[in-house]
Amino acid sequence: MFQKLAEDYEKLKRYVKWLYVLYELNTQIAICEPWEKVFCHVLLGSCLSLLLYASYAFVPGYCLTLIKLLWPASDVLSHAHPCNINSDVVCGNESDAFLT
Amino acid sequence: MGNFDAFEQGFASPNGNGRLPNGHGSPKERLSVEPERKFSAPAYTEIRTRRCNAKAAAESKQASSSSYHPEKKAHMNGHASATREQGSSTKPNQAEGKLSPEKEHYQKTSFEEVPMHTACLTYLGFYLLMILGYINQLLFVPKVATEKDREGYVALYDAFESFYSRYVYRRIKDCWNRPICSVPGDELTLKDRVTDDYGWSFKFTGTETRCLNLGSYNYLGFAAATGRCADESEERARDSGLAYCSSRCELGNNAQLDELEKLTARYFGVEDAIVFGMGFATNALNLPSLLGPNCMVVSDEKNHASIILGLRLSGATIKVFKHNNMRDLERVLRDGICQGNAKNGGKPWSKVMIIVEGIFSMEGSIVRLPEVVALKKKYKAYLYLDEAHSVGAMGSHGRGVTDYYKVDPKDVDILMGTFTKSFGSAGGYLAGSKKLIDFLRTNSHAHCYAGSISPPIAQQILTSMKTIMGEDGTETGRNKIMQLARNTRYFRRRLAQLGVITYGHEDSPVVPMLVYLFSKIGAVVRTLTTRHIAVVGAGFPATPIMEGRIRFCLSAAHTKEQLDYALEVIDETADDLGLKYSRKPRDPNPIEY
Repeated sequence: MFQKLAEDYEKLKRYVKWLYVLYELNTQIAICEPWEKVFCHVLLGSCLSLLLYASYAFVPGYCLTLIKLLWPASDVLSHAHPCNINSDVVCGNESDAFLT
Repeated sequence: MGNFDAFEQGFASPNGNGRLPNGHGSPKERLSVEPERKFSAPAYTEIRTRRCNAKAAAESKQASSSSYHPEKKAHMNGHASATREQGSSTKPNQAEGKLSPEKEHYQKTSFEEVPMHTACLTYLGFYLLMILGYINQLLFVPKVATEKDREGYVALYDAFESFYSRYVYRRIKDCWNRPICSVPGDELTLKDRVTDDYGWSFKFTGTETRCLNLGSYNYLGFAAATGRCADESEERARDSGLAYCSSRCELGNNAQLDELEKLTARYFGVEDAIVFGMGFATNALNLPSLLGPNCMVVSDEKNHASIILGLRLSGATIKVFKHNNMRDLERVLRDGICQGNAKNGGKPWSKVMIIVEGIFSMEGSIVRLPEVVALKKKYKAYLYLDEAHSVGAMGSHGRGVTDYYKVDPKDVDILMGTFTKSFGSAGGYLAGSKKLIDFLRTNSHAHCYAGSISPPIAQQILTSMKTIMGEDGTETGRNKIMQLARNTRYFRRRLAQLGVITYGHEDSPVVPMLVYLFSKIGAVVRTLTTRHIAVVGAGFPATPIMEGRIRFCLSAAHTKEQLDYALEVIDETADDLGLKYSRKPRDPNPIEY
């Protein structure tokens, strides 16, 4: 039992290593010097995290705006929404406060 | 000849490895260098992750029927003595002629499309490398790359070219220009070198690696340090010396070269031939003597650099047609002839010439000669056929693509080729009608000003050519041609079965395997080196940016065991590095040798 687990773990480790090698090869990081490797990893990582953060922070708001834009008369959604109080904030209407 | 004493000693010492006797390092010295050092270099960092464990290695060993390994085998020094008995299934390297030339071409030639994501990754990766290169050039310039006392001078070298070779190509520079220290036969010995500064400079470790050679244009296996060719060349060096130190027009002419020209003409079945000491110059310097500014040249887009240089020197109008595309060739020809010379007010061209190669060395494709000949006759153009790679390697008699397609060699106006590849020597030839060759003898710069071929080199050509023609009274030449055809078909089919993308015609012994990405060229070459296989990579600028590739060159000297070993290793490497791009259906049946 334990041996089988150990084997599976080894297999997984090899698989992950293999994926990492493929990632390095496909992004040309494999032939870079050490500082360039760090640079590329950071560059790619920051791009990716920016993308993830942006999709977390802005996409729901934009979706709500889009829905409001498409069905302006229907209040069903906003009433049914559990946090309709906050929906103004999410929708990015907070800028009005600064304008007035 | 007193000055031959040292030379003679070198020849007399029986060194099985083909190692030069003055090669550096006595055995003691070599022992003192720790063997680990060699494998600490980037060139030897093996990239095997999935099957690297002992169990998988044992499994793969059991799976392979033969126990061939370049390190184990007693060295034959590249001599292809082990040419096997011919089985009944062997067919010569020849167009079948059952279908029309066009249909047969489409059936046998494959240029598979690149997967979309790989194309994107290749371009993005290339941009990344360029950006990193510019940052490097701005911030970190090592001492080896700076020149002293050059203030106020303009740059002597092309800026982009030197940037590219320093900051992009340097990263995988260890995969090219690798020094060898043996005859490049079916196996060769690589001199190991390491780099401590990422490719700026290299140091020899003093160790050597015996590798299976899949990188030499040794199609018929005549590159050998023993055997009849080598013996006769050595003999010739002893009684005629090494060079005439003069051009053919002056004192460099001799009976041997006349014999060589007559034999070459007979070999191709044409009236006359002329030989030169350098293959590249044969193209680059003879095209200007044949063409002038009022000529139109229709040239294949994948033609070799020597042809392009020759055409530019000639000043002729160059029109390029798509690679091996007969419809495009006809369009370009028709338009060119209809419109005439635009620079000369639309007057007719004085000459129209089509230039194609027999086997395209980077693509591994074969020219569609019957169709080109038909077009040439239709439009009354001249045809210049560069058979650098195809001579010896193609056709049932080894006479090149004319033999392969059974086209009358007299239909091709100018047959050009080199002795460097199949004949295992050096130099080039032009063959054609007596009139043409006489014209070249008086007008060619390569004939008038270049030194004549060295006697031992000419002897190598003579002996190997006679062997191929069967004039030495043995079947060796014919067996070699058969062996090459067989190896080619087997290797190409097995590669296709593995699922890697290969380009070209199934009968061409040049097999480019597409790896696309710049880093993968390096990874494949390095990994195969650690597994004792020597291959050649090719990337930008030799190929388009997109199409980095590994080029295998097959030889008649390879045996089935060697090819099986190579294929097994390539299979593992392709799995590990993700090279199996092909989306074609794979042949499930085992391939017959």
